[in-house]
Amino acid sequence: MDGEKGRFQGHVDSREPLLLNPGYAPFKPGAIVEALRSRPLLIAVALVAVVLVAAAALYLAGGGGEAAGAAEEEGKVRVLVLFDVGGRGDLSFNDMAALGADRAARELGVEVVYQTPQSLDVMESVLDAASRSGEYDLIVLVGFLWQAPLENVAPRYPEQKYALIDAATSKPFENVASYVFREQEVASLVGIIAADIARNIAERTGEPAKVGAVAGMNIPPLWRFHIGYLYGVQYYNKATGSNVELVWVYTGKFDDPTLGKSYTEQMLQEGVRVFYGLAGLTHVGMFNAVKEAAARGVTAFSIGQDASQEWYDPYTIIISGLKRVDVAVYTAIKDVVEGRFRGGIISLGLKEGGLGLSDEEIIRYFAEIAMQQGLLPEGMTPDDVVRVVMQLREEWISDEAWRLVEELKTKIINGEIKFVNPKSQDEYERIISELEKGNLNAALEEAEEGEEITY
Amino acid sequence: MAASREAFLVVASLAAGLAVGGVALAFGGANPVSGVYVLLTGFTYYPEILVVSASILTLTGLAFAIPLRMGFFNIGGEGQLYAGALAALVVALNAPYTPLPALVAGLAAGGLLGVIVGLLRVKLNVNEVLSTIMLNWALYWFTSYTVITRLSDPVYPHLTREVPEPARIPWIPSSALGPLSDFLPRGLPTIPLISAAVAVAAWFFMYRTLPGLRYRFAGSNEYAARSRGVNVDLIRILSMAAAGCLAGLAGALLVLGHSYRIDTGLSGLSGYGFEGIGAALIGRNHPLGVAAASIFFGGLYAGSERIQVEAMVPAELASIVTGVIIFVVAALSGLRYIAPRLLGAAREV
Repeated sequence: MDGEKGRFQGHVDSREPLLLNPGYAPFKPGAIVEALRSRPLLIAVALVAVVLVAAAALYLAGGGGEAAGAAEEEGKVRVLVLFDVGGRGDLSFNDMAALGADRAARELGVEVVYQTPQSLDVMESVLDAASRSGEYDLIVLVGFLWQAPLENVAPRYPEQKYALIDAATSKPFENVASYVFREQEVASLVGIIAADIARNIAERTGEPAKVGAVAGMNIPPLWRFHIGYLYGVQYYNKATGSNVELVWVYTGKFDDPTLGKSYTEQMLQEGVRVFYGLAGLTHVGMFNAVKEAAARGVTAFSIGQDASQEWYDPYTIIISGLKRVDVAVYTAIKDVVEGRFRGGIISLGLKEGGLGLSDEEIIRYFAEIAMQQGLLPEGMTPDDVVRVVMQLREEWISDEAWRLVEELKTKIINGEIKFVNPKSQDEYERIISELEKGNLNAALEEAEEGEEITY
Repeated sequence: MAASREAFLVVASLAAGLAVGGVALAFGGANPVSGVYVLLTGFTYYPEILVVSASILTLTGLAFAIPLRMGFFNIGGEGQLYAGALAALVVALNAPYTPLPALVAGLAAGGLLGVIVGLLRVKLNVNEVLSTIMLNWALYWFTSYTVITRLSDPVYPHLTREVPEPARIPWIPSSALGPLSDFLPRGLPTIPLISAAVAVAAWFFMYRTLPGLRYRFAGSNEYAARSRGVNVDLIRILSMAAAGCLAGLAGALLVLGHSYRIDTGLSGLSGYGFEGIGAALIGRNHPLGVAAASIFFGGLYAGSERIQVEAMVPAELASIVTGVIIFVVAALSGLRYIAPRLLGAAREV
């Protein structure tokens, strides 16, 4: 320790013994002049000066080029896509949004710029600055985390158009179009499939059938997933007289695969065999844990969400719930290009094609994207992915389950079944506990038989 | 003169850092020259990010620099900041009248942690690097747990409830800012003024007062100080307490003066404590140097947002580039411990 301390003696320079005279300690005006001669301060000033001079020089040098660039792009619709803190690379939610914006850039000839703020604290600053700049015809805000900043910023810039994806502002703004999904609908279909797979596994191993879900944060879109998923499981239990149990965990994060993996391993220990990934990048860790379990000889499967994620490991990812964030982003941009933008809430579900289960076509589509990015498992082609997944489904999903899926889907599309949208944590928890008791109606909006809803 | 040599070292390390950042940009497929330019000028676009992060980093930087004088490596700025933020938020939610009690609570929470670490070191000889790192994690999870289970907002469950209006530190309205009002249409947060005042006070205390002299004396030569009747153990504990107070104050200011909430992943708080260490190294552990380095860091933060839009650089690459620049500048600034000896030796030959 002593040797190390010696290093810091460098701070005590030759002038300082003067200070041993206590009379010097009280403040004197001369101290400022003295201070300006002190080395560290000089360096501090130099540091700031260098940065400022460099920035100014570069600003002047770069100014001309910038103006020319802006003139070139004139007339083009400019769109800023702001991701939430999780950002791209999650192979699902955010990447889907980018896909929709890329498609708009290609097909509609708009100019798209992407940005991912680095922490929750700067989101409002980023949004405010972008709105103030007036550079963008539309600002697309991807994800629930933007709701709070947007509600503060939107009233300040009434001319700026915003599209909020997967969330809605709590009061309407004329310049905000909110795109929400009725997640319960797709989750309920997934619930039926998951319960069926778990029961089929349980029949072979003799253990109790358990399905699970690795969810991100405890936020409204995930409440809706939870309600739908549990509804689907209980719907299956009721129809087939089985007793499949649901284990649901919130990891609290959308961007932490390690966390997703450790939660999944814990759930595997508890006997969960089918895992629904609802946590963006976090549930990539869930995929990995299930893949490793399968390599150890445990029969377990994953279910993806948002994009078709089967290609990531076609031997264990058997199906994906689709939430077509890309459709929402594309539609929002298209509306602006065609001058049809309107504030308000746009709700997307099975009926509108905003939700669904992955089929051969969409699995191949995403496998091809993965191949272009060099992400497919080694030695596989998109056709292999489709073939492996279809074989897997043949083996583990019964015809009965598909029949129930079709039955429920029809009821949802023709409006016979309408899920509740919980407004608060309490309402959500109450619905879940009712569903757990087997009361399926708790998840549905109250519409008496034969009673028409009048508007 | 020594001063010109050190100034040269700072300029050289800055230039090297920016050059390496440019190389990283080029590797990522972006134009290195315009990329670095946008990185450096991005603060004009996001002045609020610059101002807020620079002032928070100044405080966490001081929380590292001050105990370093006593040979303490306070890696715990991160945890002390969480504690300060949490304590301030809890008090502000329960006593929403003025920001003062919440500020004091934040200060006290951080300071208490500092005292614990200081006592452990002085009385039980527990290495402060270990204790602060462990406490960082304990506090991370404690804060996250409290935020999720006790403080969450029913409407935005990923955030805590908001600090009520009367308990917030008021901003300076943009109408009072004169020519700067175009830059800051929402006004100026008060955080930077408080932070600057603290930095100047720290400098004045250390270099211009008698207790400050004792402090530096005890730090530079423990045995000599002891023999002159200075209570070194007490000064050590006090130095850690002061560090904790500073980091706690940083957390409290962030919550009461800018974000008004904490998020469940603590993304609005995390990183400031650790990056303060970098600011302290680059700022030569001198209060005003730390402040200058923090302004540089804050500029880079703002730039790393802007570069995504202006140079179409993905967020990850932007983080890599700022990280690389900070690393190179901090590492080269560390050279000064060795460089004088090298340069001195060269001169003698």
